Amino acid sequence: MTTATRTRHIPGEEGIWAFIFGDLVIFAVFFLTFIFYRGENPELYASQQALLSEGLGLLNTLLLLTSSLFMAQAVRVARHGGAQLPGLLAAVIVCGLGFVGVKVIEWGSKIQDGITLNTNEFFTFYYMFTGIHLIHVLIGLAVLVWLFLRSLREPASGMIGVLESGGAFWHLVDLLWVVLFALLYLMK
Amino acid sequence: MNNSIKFCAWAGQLAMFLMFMAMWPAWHILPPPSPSLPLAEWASHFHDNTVGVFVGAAMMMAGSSLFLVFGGGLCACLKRMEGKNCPLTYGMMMFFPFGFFPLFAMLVFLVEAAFRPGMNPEIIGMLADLGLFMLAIPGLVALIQFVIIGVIILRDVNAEPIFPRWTAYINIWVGILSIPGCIVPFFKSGPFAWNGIIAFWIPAIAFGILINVLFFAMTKAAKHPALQAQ
Repeated sequence: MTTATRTRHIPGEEGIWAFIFGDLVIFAVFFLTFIFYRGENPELYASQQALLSEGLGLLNTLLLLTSSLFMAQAVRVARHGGAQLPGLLAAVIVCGLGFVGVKVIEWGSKIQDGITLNTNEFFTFYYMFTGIHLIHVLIGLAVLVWLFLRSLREPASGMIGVLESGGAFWHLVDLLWVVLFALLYLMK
Repeated sequence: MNNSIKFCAWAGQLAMFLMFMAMWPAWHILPPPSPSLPLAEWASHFHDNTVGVFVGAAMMMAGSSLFLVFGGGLCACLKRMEGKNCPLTYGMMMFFPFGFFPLFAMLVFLVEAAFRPGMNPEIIGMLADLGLFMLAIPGLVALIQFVIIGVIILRDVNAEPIFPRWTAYINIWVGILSIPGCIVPFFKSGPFAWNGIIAFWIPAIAFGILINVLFFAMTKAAKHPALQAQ
């Protein structure tokens, strides 16, 4: 072997990157809007932030980070044969469902306490941003279930492209949550 | 070249132009007035501008109809993508009248708001509110419609796709961005009100981008072998 030429490889298909880029731009606008309104009324935001459960937020962060790790493993395994692929995808799905479960508990307890969408500005942002993020999670889970069912029927070698696309989307879901967590739960 | 599809694509551009002209110079609701305006001021926005409201209504009437022509061309492309059995495309054919009817309803409400200037400002304000709601509320209609269009594009059965696959992701993206429109009734100010950045400006700009992306994809698809006259 003389000079090994490394070709540049974009994971997944190009179209998914158009989506990811577009989504990052819009979430950046969301976050700037939040910071702007927060600056107008810092006392309200600080007092309302204290009502959120940092523990549940952290649990969800850990669930998504773990799921991303499994996802990265799944893509790697698929490149080398892929016997464990269905198991790894199932692990990603379980973590994702765990995230949804925690979110339901979190929203449920807030609603029981009488805190809803229009209680105040902070909670409007909270429900809307975490809600739009949750829709991303649900779309991601639907894609993951589809990938899981495919992985049971066909060889992993033919699925690398779709796995990379699905994985890129799942990492986006993870990334957005980490920023949301910092912004809504932690930023002082 | 399939000229019918090209014609439909251009109908979408004309529809956008007419909608924009109705909302901006004719109705002065671009940018939308704040929903927290005092009722008397909100009512005078319409009865001081009756000619603008009526001319804008005519433009919106033509525009909202042309969107359906655009939808026809789009569905012709979607049908080819989905193949012989095309339930999702049939669903989209029903979605177009459902999703664009609010534009027609909007003009009827605004015309009535301007029709009897002597009317009680509370009633005028209510009619104008209904008009503005029509514009912003169908957020979840857009979510479902655009996500399904995206799915049809991704599942294209042709060896050479009718639309480029990236257009599917743009559809899904715009669908998600449209969601906040449905919560405008909760707010009279701020980013989620009907004049706010998240409930109005982002969905509106995303919709404009989407119609142009679909226009591009349709004019390209008009040359696709699968869409030529048999």
